[in-house]
Amino acid sequence: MNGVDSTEPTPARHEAAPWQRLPRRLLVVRAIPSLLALVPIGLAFLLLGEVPASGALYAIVAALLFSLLRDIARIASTRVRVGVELVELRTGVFTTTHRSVPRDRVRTVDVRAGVLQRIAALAVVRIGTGEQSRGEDSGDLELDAVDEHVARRLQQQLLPGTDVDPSGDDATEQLARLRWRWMPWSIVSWWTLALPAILIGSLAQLARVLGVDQPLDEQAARDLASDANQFGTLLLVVVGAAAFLAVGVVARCASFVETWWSFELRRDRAAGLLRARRGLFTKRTTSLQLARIRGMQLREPLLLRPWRVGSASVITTGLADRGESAERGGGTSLGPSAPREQVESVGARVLDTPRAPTAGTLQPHPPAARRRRLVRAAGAAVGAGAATGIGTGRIEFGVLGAALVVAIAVPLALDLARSLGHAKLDGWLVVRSGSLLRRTSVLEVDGIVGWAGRRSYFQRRAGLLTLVAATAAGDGAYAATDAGESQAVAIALAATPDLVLPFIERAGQGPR
Amino acid sequence: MERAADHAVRLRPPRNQLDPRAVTWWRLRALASSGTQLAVVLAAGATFDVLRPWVWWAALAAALWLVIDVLFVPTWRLRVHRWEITDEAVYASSGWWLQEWRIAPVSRIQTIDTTRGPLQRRLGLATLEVTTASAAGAIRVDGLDADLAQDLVEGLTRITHATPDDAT
Repeated sequence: MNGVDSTEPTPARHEAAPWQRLPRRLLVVRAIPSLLALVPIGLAFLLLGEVPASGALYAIVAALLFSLLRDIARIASTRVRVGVELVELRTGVFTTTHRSVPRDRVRTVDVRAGVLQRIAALAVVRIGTGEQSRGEDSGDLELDAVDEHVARRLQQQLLPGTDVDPSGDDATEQLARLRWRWMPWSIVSWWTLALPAILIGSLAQLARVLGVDQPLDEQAARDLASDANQFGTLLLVVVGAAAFLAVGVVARCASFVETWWSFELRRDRAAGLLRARRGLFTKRTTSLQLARIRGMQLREPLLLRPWRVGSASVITTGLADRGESAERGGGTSLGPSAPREQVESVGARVLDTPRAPTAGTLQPHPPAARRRRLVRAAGAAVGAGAATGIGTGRIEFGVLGAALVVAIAVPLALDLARSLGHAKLDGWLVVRSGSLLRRTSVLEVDGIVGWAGRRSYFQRRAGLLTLVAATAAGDGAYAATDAGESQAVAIALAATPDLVLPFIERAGQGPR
Repeated sequence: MERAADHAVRLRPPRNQLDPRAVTWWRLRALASSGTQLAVVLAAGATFDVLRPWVWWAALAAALWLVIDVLFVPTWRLRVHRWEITDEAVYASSGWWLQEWRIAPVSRIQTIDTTRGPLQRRLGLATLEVTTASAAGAIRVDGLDADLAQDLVEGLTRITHATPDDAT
């Protein structure tokens, strides 16, 4: 298993570098999780002394075996070539896909390794290009997985200046590092409630699959009831809730430690790179070119906002933030949730500005924007009321349903309206929106590659316009939703006067 | 900012209108898509008895939509769809219910394409599509005279070559 490692580093000096296989021990690493998943079933077999015959069980085993076979086929068929000009990846048995990334297009290299991968000295390399392709398919190329040393050497090769240990030398400056007092903020999250619920749900599911979900018999139920009387129902409920919460808190803390252990953000001006590393079991190091940074985004979940706590990520071309949320520490994250001042000071240092643009004052959007949100809330309430009313055939229930929706939707609508805002501060465009997750995005004005203005019929009547700044970085488009029409045009004009001015209506030309 | 000055700032519409043949093209396209919709509704009603009570309402809605889509939407579009290409920027507006304008600097243009569907070819029209590095989408000018579109592509290509930039 740890025999010959065929993914030796390629000097890549001459054309036609050889195609390399992935290390064979990767097969074992891949197989282990699937086999581990079979352990509970095996245990059940030992304990119950028989195979709990159930269709679901066979389906699970079959699915595991299938995914195992598919992995093996994929790994065995994958070839990698690092040439002078291209990094190429070829994979697939029946339909072969061939991806290549020109080496001069490489903007970011991300190396990460999970527990098993680290034991096996393997690492996943993700090579990011500046490419913004349409749809899901990105211009990125992922090598999953290669030998640890090969990964490091690739990082060094593709982005010269990246050294093996990011914290090693003094030529770099530290922008941020982990503070343990940030940990409690990770608990203030819906996940703290959701995780134990998911756990209970999956345990119940497992019990059903194994056929041990018999309902309590009468005696047991009576025992339970007498226990409840003995200790007091209230106490039982309190203890139960505390246990439930404790599970969530412990899980969140564990996940914080796992994600952010040894977190450090460094800037290497000589090499022109921003480097991040973090992770306890799953280690992760990211290098991205400073020249590709176009801005930052501050994220403030509703639960954290009263405490002025949030997290930030960097907006850059070449490392799209897709799927992986900054809350969990996506590749572009600037750190865990922390007091806003600290997050912003890290952001300011990353963006090389005296003050983070997110800290500036934003222009609020016109009252019509709030009206639109209230109308939507009212619409939702009417819809919900009608649905419950007709569904149950009782008017009271309909009214109750509508009232419930109003109680949630109206404060939400007001908060959504309050969140809306935008500004042009020095060389930055700032837009803010969202309630459950309020996002303040900062975009370097030079990074704006176009504008779009969207107006529905209702927006036109309300004099509103959704202004979208197009960019090659991050999400590709950042919107100031429901801004005032002239407000929006003014901001676009202020940000890119040369571009917008020729299309401004002069006085005397009259409206169309 | 200054409220009074704010009020004065407006974008003027792009200078050029589309070729009026675009209306014909939109009509035909609407006839094809909304007509198919109506046909599907009727076919579903004819095939599945369960749907019978609903089908007349659905068919009525589909027929109404067909009329609006073929008669009104294309003329509405013609009033909104406009374009303008200067040495510095491409500026276009489109839509009807949901209207949109887009501005892209010529220095950030990555690709310039024209596409011609079978219907457009018959009508002598073409769609001009200009993409930038942003994932936000391309600027499309829908119903241009085919020769004009070709000239615009050549002109734009010349300007973009004269404006070096890394386009991100």
